[in-house]
Amino acid sequence: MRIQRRDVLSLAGGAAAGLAVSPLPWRLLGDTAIWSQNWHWMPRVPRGAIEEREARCTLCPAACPVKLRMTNGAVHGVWPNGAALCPAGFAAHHMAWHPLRLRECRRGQTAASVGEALESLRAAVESRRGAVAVLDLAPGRAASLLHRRHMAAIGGAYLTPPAVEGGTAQAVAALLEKRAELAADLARVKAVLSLGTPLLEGWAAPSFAVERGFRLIQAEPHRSRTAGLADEWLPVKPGAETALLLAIGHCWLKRPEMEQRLGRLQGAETWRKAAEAMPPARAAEAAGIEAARIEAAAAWLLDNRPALVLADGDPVGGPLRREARAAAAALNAMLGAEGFGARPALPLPKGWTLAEAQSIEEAGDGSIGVLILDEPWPGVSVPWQLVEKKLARDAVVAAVTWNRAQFAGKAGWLIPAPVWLEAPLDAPQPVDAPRAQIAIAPAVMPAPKGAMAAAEVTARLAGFETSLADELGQLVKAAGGAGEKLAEAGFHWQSEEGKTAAPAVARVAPETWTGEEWLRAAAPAAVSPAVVVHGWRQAAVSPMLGKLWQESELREGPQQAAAHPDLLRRHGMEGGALARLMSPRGAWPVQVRAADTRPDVIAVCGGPALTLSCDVRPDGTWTLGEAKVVKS
Amino acid sequence: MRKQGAEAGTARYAMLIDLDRCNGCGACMVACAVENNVPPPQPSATPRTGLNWLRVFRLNTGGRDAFIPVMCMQCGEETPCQSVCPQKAVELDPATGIVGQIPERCLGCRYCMAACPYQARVFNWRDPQWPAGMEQALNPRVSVRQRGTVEKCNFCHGRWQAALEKAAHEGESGPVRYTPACAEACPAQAIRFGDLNDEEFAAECRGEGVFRLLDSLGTGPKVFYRTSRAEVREATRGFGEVKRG
Repeated sequence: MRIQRRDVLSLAGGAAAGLAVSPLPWRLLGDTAIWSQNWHWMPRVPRGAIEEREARCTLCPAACPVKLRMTNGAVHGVWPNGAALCPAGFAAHHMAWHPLRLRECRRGQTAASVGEALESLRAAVESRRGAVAVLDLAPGRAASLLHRRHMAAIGGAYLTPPAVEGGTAQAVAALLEKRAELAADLARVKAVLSLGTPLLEGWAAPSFAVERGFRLIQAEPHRSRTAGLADEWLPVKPGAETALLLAIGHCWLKRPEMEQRLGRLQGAETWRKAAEAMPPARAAEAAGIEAARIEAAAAWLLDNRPALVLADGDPVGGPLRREARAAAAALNAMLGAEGFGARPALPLPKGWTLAEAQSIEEAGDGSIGVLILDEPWPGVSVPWQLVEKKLARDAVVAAVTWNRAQFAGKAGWLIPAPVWLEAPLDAPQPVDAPRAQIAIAPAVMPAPKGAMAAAEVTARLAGFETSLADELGQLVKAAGGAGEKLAEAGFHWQSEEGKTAAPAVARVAPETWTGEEWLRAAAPAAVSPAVVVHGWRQAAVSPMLGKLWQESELREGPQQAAAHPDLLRRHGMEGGALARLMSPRGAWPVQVRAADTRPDVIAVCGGPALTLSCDVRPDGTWTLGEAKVVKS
Repeated sequence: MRKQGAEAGTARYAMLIDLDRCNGCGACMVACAVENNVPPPQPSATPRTGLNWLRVFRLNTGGRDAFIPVMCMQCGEETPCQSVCPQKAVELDPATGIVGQIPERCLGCRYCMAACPYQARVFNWRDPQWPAGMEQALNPRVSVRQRGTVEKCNFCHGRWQAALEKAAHEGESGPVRYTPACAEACPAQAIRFGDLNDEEFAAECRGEGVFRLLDSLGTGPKVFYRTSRAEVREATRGFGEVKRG
C-alpha cells in the first residue's frame, strides 16, 4: 500500500481529535496545576511535628498569656491561652522577619560589629562621665530597672519620654497628700470620660469591663474605633479639650456635695475661678459641641460613680496639652480620685541602687554627651526635636533598636536588638490596673548574630558582665520566682489586685497656678481644617496587620488620612484619593478616606516617622504644626 | 444531642456570630490569615484586590457602631459558586457541609467570584510572597496557593483534617469537633462554631434575633448572625450595598 499525503493528514487529524477526547490533555492540565504549586519560587511550608509551648506576649502592658505553636524551632502560630489576644498578638512572631528588621550593627551607613560599637561607646562614656543617659522608649519594664541600675553605676541619667498613657495618673499623683505611683483602675469604675485615649484599642481591661456594665463617653474629633463603640461620642474640636473639662467642672460646682468636697482641697479658688469662667455655653462655642451635651455628660459622670476622667492622649499622636491633663486631674480630685489606685513598687534585690527616673523634658539642654536609645518595640517614638536639644555638640548617640528605619540618620550607631521570643524581653506595667507585674517572654528562637538587648548594652558600659537573663533572674528571685531557667521558660508575676483604697488627694490645682493657665489654653486650634495625628501603636508589628487597614477598611493605618465627605468634596477629593500631608517639617504621601470625623478636621493616622518629625511645644507635648493635606 | 434524621457520620458545620459582642478588633482576620497561610498585603494591594478570607465590615447605624464579619457562607442549597465552576474546583462536601475550593483544579476564570452573592471569594493576582525568612512561620498544615487561583474560607479545613486524624488515632468515629481559627481567636467570644446536626446548636441558630445574610436568595448559608439591635438587622438587609459603601 502506498502512503499518500492525505493518509498522513488523516492520521494527524484523527490523532488530534482523538487526543482531545481522551483523558490525556485533561490529565496534563491537572498535573500542570499541581506542578505549578511546586515551582521553585513558591514558598514551602515547614514539615515536622507541631509542638506547643506557653509564653506571654510582651509587646504591650497587657502581657497576655499565649500558646506558641512551633515546628522545627520556628513559631508559626500564636494563640490565646485562657484569655483574649489582640490582632497584633496573632502576628507578633512575624517581628523576627519584619522587612524593617535591623539585622546588623551599623555605624552611619556602613556595617560594623557590635564589639566595635561597644568599644566606641565605652570610650565615649569614659571621656564624658556625668553626661551619659539612656532614653527608655518603653519605660516601666523590668529591663527599665536594669537601665536604672546601670546608670547609677556610671553616674548616668535614666530618661523617659513624656507620659502619654498614664499621663492623667501622673497629673493626679502630683495632687496627692503623699507621693505615690498611680494607675487607672478600670475594674473599679463604672463610668469613664476619655479624651482621645484609645481605651478599646489596646488597653486590656475594657473588653472585660464592658461585660460588667462599664460605660464610656469618648471625646475626640475623629470617630475612632473606641469612639464608635463608646456609649457616646463627643466630637470635640482639637485643642478645646481644656474648655470641655472646665465646663464639666463648672456644672459640678452647682452640686452641693461637690462644692463641699472642693472646699476641702487646696487650690480650690484657682480651680473655681477657671471653672466659673467657662460655663457650658462658652465651652460649647469653643469645643463645637452643644451645651446640653456637655451638661448631660457632667451629670452622667456624677450619676454613675465611681467615675474616672482620662486625658491621656493617643500613644502615636502624643500626650494632650499639660493644661488639659491638669484639668482632668482636677476633675478626678473632685471625684476623690476614685478611679485610681496606688501601684506597689516592684520588689528589688538587696544591694541594688537605682538612678532616679526623670522625664527627658527635665534634662538640661545640651547636657547629654552619650545617649543610648532603647526602642524595643514597633510604634514607640518621640519627636527628634525633643531629643536633639538635650544633646551636647558632638554627642554620641546609639540606638539599640529592632528597626532599621526610625533612627537611621539620627543615631551614629544602630545596634540590632532581639525581638519578642528571641531574648527574655518583658512587658511594662499595666496602664489600666494598679498592680505591679513582671512578665518575661521566653527566648525560643535564635536572635540574629550580634543582636543585643539595650539593657545588655548599658550593662557592658557600666562594667556588668552578667547576661540579661541572669540580671532579670535576680529580679525574678526577689519577686519570689525561681529565676534560673528564665530564658527557657519565661516568667510571670503580679502583685495582688483590687485591694488598694482610693488615694488621698490634697490639692485640686498645681501649686503655682493662678487659673489663667487653663483659660488661656481653652481655645481650639485656629487653623481649619486642623490636622490631628492619631494612630495604632501596634500597626507595625507585622506586615500581616495590613489586612486590617490596607486590604480592608476596618482600621486606619499608617499614611492614611480620614476626613468628613463634605470636607473632601470641598477640597476636590474623594475616598481613596492620594494626597500629600505638608507640614513645616516635611511632606508625606497619604491616602484619604471618607470617615465620620468633624467637618473641620483631618485625622492622619501616624507612625514613628511622623512623630519623629513633630514640633515640640514648651510643655513637652508635640504637634505637626500648621499642617495641611493637599491633593496630589 | 444529635438531631433526628441526620445522616450517620455526617456533620453540617455552621457558625453563629453574635454581632452584639463583636467589637471589630480584627483579631479574627489576622488569625485567619496566619492560620491559612494567606500572604501579607503586597504594596499595591487595596480592599478590592486584597486577599482576605474573612472581612469585618463596620456599620454606623447612628448609635454604637456594629461590626459584621463576613466570610464564605458555605451555602448548602444551589451553591452558586459550585454550579458555575467549569473545572469542578468547588465541591460541597456532603459529609461536612463545607464548600471546598480546590486550587489545583482552579483555572482562574473567576466565574465563582461573579456568582458569589456575598463577594466572599478572593483572587490571587500574584504569586504569594512573604518577607524573607517568614516562610518558616507558615502553618505546616496548609499549603500555599499559586497565582491565578481563587480562594476562600473553608472553615479551616486543615484543622478539620487534624481533628479527623486525631479522632481516627483514638479510635473514634462520626463527625469530629474542632474550632476554626477565627472562633478560637475572637477575644469577645462572638464567633461560635458548631454542627447543625446537633439539636442544641441548631436551636440556637433558630433563636430570637438570628438572621442570615441575603437569606431570601435561598442558597442556604450556614453562617448565622445574632443581634438584639433591629437597626443592625435592617441595615444588613441589603448586604451588597453595605459592603460596597
